[in-house]
Amino acid sequence: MSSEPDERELDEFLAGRDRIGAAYREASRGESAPAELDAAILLAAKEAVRTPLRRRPRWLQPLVVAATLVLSLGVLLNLWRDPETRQQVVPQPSAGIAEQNFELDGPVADRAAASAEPVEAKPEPKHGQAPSLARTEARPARRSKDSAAAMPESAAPQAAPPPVSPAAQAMTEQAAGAIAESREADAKRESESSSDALRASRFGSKAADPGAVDQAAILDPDTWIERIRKILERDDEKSARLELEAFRKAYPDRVLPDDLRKLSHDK
Amino acid sequence: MADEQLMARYQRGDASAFEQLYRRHRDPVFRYLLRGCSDRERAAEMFQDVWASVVRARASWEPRAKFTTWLYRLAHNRLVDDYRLARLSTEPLEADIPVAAPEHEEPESQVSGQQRLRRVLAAVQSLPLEQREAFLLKEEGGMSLDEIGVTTGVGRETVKSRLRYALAKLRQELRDVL
Repeated sequence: MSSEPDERELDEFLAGRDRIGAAYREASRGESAPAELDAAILLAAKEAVRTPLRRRPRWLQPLVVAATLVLSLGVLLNLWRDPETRQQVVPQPSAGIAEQNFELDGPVADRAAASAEPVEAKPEPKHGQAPSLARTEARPARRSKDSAAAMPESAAPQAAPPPVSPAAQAMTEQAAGAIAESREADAKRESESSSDALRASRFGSKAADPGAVDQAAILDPDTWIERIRKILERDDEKSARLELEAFRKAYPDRVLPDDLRKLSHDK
Repeated sequence: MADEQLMARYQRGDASAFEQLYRRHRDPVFRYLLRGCSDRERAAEMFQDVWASVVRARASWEPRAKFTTWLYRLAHNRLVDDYRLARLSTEPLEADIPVAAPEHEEPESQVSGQQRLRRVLAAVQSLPLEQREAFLLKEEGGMSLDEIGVTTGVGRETVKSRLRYALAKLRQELRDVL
């Protein structure tokens, strides 16, 4: 089969000069679409233009999604970077030390002793980095104890714990977070005003135990007073004073009960 | 007015522009679909689907290619879907199309005009789908080799090959009437 005749035939066909094409066109002339389809199709076309055409560029949707993600991440990062906000989310174990003392019965105590190193009101030189260190102590205990319940109410004093270990910091924060969540509703309003005061008192006082203070900061006044009393019952006057100082900064207008007033004056 | 301009006007809300487009391409598109499936009812259904697609696509249509290439691409895709649904073979439907044997056997007999036309249509219908499509896109869509390639998703040389085979087959089939 020669390719030249085929090529010529093809060229003729493409040019519309061939017999086959002509025969086909003649055969199909007059063959048309059913008229009953016209009305429906034209009506649909008219309906479609009744509503204004909002041409969304194709790139718009991915851009919106990307922008939303970027904004969300930015907000989250900013919240996380802000120490204040972070404290609210992952509150300091204010009575961190005290708490630990409260809770530390049995397994909780063992765990706390093993992990942290809670310094209870020890005037650690590490106060500079303090808050986290102090937190560290209480947090493991808190975490193990399971938070809100664990708090200040109970508390057997723990033997003087070893110095705060930086290694426990992360654990501490997590534990604090767990506890904080359970109290957040109540404590949040108070903690906003009190956290500044707490930090100030923490760095200002010798025996500052920031962690302990921070945690307490989110407590309501009555609970906090009770906690201070329990600390006193354990003869831990130093810790009690710290707590009290923090309490007073957090609730300056609160009238202290007599027993605590005395402690406050004795300072 | 060119197809692309009419489509652009339709995009802007001019329904009469759509009607012009529709009237211009209505019959060729229908015949393309009819020859593709050999069933008038199915062809009508596909025909509506194709134009519905045109209406829906008005928001996103951009004149990157000729309107006819785009339109027949919609029709081609719809035809392919129909074949897949019907699980029809793409082999020629020779068994279904009775070729007029008596005329072949009696070359001297007069073949009436109507019969001749029917024979032509039957011969086209009997082509394998790919060859048939190439033939119809040229005849009904007025497309070039490249445009046929774009519409059917194959290269230019493949289109040429399909057309050569189609013409050779038709020439053989219609040698006594043409």
